[in-house]
Amino acid sequence: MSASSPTTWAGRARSADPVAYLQYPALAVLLAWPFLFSTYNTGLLTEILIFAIAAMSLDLLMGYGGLVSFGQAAFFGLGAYTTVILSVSFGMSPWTGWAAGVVVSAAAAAVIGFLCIRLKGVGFFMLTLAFAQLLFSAALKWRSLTGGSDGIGGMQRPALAGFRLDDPATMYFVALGAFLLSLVLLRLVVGSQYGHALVGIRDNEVRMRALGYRANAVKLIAFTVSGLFAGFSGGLYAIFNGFVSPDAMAFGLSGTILLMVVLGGAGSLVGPAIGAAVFLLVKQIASSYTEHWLSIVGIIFVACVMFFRSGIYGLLLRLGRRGS
Amino acid sequence: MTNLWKPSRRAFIAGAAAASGLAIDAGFARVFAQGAGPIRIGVLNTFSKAVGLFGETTVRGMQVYLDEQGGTIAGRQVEIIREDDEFNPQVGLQKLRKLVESDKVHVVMGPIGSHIAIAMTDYMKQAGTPWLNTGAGATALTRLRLPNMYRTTMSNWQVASPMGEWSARNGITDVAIITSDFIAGHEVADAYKASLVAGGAKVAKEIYTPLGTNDFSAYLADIRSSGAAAIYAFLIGSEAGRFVKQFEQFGLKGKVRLTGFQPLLDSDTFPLQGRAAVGGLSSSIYCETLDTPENRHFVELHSAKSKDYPGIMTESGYTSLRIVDDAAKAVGGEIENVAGFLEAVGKVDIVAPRGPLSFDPVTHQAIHNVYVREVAEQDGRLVNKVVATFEKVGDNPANRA
Repeated sequence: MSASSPTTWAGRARSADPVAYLQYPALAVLLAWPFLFSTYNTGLLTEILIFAIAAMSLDLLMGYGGLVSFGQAAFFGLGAYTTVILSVSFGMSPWTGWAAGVVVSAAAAAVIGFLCIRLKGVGFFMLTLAFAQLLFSAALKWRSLTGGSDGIGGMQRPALAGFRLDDPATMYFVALGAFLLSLVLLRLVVGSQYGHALVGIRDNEVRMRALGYRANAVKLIAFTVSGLFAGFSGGLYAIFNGFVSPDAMAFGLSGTILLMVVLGGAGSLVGPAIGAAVFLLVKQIASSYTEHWLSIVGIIFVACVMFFRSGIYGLLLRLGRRGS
Repeated sequence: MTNLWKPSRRAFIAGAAAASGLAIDAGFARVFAQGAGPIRIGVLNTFSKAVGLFGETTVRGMQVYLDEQGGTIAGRQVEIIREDDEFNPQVGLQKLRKLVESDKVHVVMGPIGSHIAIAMTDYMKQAGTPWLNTGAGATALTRLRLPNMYRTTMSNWQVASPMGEWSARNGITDVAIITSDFIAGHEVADAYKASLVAGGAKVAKEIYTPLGTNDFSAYLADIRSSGAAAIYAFLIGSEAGRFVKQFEQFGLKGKVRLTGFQPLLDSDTFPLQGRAAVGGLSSSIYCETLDTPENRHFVELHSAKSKDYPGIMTESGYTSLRIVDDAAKAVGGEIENVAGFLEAVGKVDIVAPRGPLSFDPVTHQAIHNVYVREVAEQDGRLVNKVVATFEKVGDNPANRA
């Protein structure tokens, strides 16, 4: 595998697995966070963790499968809408809604993926965008179900084993748990024989077919799993906000998630999570000073693409190496 | 690849994470250290996209008031913290949390988008921070009866309903309704339609356009083929500008009467519309040419800031900050006394540039005059002129039941 991607930092990261050494101090910081910092910062990190799951879900498809999708927000939004609609309009528990949201997103991803994976490159990219726009306009126009552009509000945060999620620290730990669960599961997927096959197909599909791999089946599984985790994060986002609107499904959000992956470093899982953190922090801080905060993000993005091809994560690895 | 570099990298990442957290929290320490300090006002409004001008004009109105008062409110310095909600409820919630939890503002003012205001209600109910709604007209907002929210601006029903009544009485009897497809658009259309039909007139066509529509030609063709004699439109910001321009380019001007909800034809949008707006009718809680001492004084103050006449949101920013000032003075500057401050807001009874203003004790909706206005040219500038006045219009009776 390392032979197949020797030029990317992520490739080396997998072979050296430096994450193993980093994960304990990082986990310690994450666990201690709500006790060290304000509720506002805890809320901010909660949001970062939620979007980190979405970014990692796209990374499976993009970094490991080489399939650049522009429709990730569709599955994020499906998860969010299912959660809110079931709990507000049908009176179910948000937990049930969340679980249903994951199922709905994965099912939709299986259907949409079945049609999309037949295409490569720009065709794939455009088709995922088209399906996402289709779902977006449904969210916008089906007022009786989705509330149109006003969205649906009034969802109360549920309780968990006696802890109210109204408490920012509890909400944070739920998000942290969801993030760690996603990270562990996705790493299991990419580390498995299946994950190696996915990378193999990314690098040389013809050879993998010749070896007897069913390339389309492998890609479809990646698309479905990716949609599943996107829905997982979307449902959590709906619980966090108590609210959903078509913006959770919009074109702009798909772009944002894509940006997080590229910014952080595709093909590393941890990289896109860092990308999500950097994007949201820059947005939160810069947008308080200027309405043109996106241009700041844009400059960082251009710098990343030009100078650090493997994203912030690759840069961190390089700095770490130089520091020795 | 030796083991040597590993500790340094680990330290680097852990350190960077902790440092970024501390950097954000430094803002807190500063706020706490100040003790009594300034009155912090969080303005959550739209400063970008199609309706971005409303955020700017609302803050401009506040600035006019602050300058008039020498920069202080109830003897305390004022810090206005503005946040852009991007007309997106998700972003609005994010920014609201920042204002309440990080900046610890004493009062939240805004937003302009009704869909954002609706998304804010659950959070605001829990936070308990005083909230002056300076721009969002959703009728439902005052039906919810949030104890800590007062609406200093109009409710959609309050402004749209008199226009329907007046139109039916004044020969505007065959109308095509076109509004943006969001909560406020539907509320305005429903309220207008109800009173128009009650007056014996009829609606030829109803069209709901997506927020952010650039090209209205297909809709205008639809209106022309419906044979309606008048249009009642509610579009905001740059959409209002484009719609009125295209209305003229399409050759409907002079054949079809242009009428609408207040932001369609306002000082804020005239620069985008030019002479295409002349003759347009709209109902509003404010008119820049009102001939009262309060309004003349306000327009005079405003002229130092801008060459244009003030619009509804500028007046709303000015009057809303005056309400904060009056209520803060009533509690001796102790704006931290939330219960006392909110009670004092409810007792406000003033003559604002827009006319007399007080609050409904049940729904917390401002009670004020509603004016029917016509766009005219005056000294080479476009202005609204009052055609008719509905005095002291209250909230929708259904909200009070």
